[in-house]
Amino acid sequence: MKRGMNLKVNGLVREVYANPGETLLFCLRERLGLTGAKEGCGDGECGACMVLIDGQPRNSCLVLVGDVENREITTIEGLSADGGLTPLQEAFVAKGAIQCGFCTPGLVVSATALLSRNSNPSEPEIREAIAGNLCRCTGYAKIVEAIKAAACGEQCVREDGPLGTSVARLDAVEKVTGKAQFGADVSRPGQLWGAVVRSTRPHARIVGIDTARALAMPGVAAAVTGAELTPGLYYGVDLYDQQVLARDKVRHVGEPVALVAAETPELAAEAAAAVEVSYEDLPPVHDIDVALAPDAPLVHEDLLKYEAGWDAIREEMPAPPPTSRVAIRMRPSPPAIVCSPIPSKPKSSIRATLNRTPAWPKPTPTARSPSGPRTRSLLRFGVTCPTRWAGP
Amino acid sequence: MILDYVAPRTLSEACALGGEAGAVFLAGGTDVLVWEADGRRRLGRVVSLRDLSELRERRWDQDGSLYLGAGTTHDEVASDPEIQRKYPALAEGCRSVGSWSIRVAGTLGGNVCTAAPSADSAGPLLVYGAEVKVTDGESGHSLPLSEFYVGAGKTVLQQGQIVLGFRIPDPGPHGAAFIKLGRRRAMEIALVSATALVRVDEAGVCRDLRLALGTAAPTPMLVEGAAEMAAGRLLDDEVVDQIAKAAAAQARPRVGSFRCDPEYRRRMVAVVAERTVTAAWSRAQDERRAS
Repeated sequence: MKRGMNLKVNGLVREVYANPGETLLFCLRERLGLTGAKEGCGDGECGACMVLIDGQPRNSCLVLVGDVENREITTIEGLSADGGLTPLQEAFVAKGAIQCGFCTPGLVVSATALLSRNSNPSEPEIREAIAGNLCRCTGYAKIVEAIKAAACGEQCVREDGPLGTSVARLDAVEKVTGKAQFGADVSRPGQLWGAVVRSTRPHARIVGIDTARALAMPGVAAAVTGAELTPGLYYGVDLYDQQVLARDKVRHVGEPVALVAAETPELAAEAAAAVEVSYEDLPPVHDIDVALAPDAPLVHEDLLKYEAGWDAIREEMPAPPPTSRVAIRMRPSPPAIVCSPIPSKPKSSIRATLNRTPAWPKPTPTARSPSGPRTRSLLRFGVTCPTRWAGP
Repeated sequence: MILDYVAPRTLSEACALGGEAGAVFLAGGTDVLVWEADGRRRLGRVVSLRDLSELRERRWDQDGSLYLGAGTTHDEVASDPEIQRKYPALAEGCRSVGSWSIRVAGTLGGNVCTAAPSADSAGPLLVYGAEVKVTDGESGHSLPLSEFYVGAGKTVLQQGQIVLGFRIPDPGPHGAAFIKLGRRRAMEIALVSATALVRVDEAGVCRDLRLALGTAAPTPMLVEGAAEMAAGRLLDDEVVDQIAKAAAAQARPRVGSFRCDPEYRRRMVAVVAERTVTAAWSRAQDERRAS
């Protein structure tokens, strides 16, 4: 039940109309427009949502608004009083501690809390203080350097100069202040809210999806299932093996099955819960031993028809005539599967394809080695029999 | 999103509201809100304990024992110099939880009531002989922590009962050690853990040993017979090895855990048991020499 609440955020009392049972992260981002705190995981592991509550670091995704009505909340946006940068933020910018910037607000908040508790932390103390902040990009070295520099009172100046100067990233300041806009930070007036209905089964045929109840709810604008999307719409990275919404069957728990759009996030959540999906379970393939069995179920029955994720290679490969054999060939690192029709395909264009991937070592024919890297990669895609390389 | 949230002002109100089937109590939220986020458990009504100041009580009693309210956070325990000095294994255990922000939020009461066998405060509380104070809003009673667990994730608490706090007796001079085994040094659930407490007499001979294991059975457990194996002896390699083997034999590791197979767990129980008993013994000797 939403109600009016007063929250003290960044020194100001803000009045919001919110659910006491919603997370502080959601309220800050969606109701107060303070999108500096990010949702990286939503369950307290990544630290991207870090804020200060009464000066202490807290994962705002694990705080309910109702619990902090009378507490001092400080977000990344509230760290510098005059709109400039704090010495810690200057250090992050100058030391190159920011790459994509997604973890940056959370890290700056944690580090701010550290320095107010301990003005001269050792490196182990710094690392312990930021242990709850994950950074996928930097490897933490520059971050630790920046925190140490700030603690030492080092004057961190943003350099400018000729080739060879260590300059600040163009967008470092926006990122370190939480102003940089990532995808989920963008909102538009009158936007709808989406919710995903996900598979609860590991491997199952979709017997039916009933969206009638969801669509009948006031405020629900749409409910879409895989059957309504373009057939054969697959996407992926190295291999186009994923569907936007599952059609016909689901291949893992959590696979998106339907999308709903509604006027508020609560309505979207309720509408998603009102979508009824019925499944007919198929035997799941849980591990390599199950997958290797000769009668193992195929998770991807159409694997050999999937397209590869490089336009160049797809252009190179004409559609195989019905009589040609198809082989699966893989690149060890990262593993990928490319379908190449042989032997009718001219040798020159296979070589051309190979030349585009210089890291591709000469494949060795190892037909029946269950422990070979090729076989292991095949098993990732649910193909159960080892295959023979039959190319040039 | 939690749609049924209440924040009662008194303990009896809280127990009454929490008495409804499916209701859960919310302290730090580092378990309850994760269940909500992951969708693993359907939560009923959420009863926030934010206004119950009696849960944050902390006092040292005349007899030297410590009373910690259930709402005491891991960070408060880990950073209290008195607790570090007097109950070092408890401070260590709480310090190993999650990360700083998780420790600031998560509470002893929550850690014990979630009753995961891997709970980092459980082993220390067990070896220090903690008692749990429980109330249903009208009347309360106490029971040893060792009798509080019933199974994995299950305690003797009835719907609507709350843990008020923990009374931990004065441990006297002792040596203690806590080891948490995992792939990481933070944000980790113990693969296996051990807590050991050793008391020695004036001659330096062992007079008491308590050994607790985490993630070695459906509940946190004390190794039976540890005291008998150690009492009156010097804890040399042979004795410690005997104790470690007994610990491994008593372990009932989970079959089908995706993190490791039971044989590995059992072997690691022996390793962490041996290391904590050795460390606790050595610290007990240092303590004796220092006093």
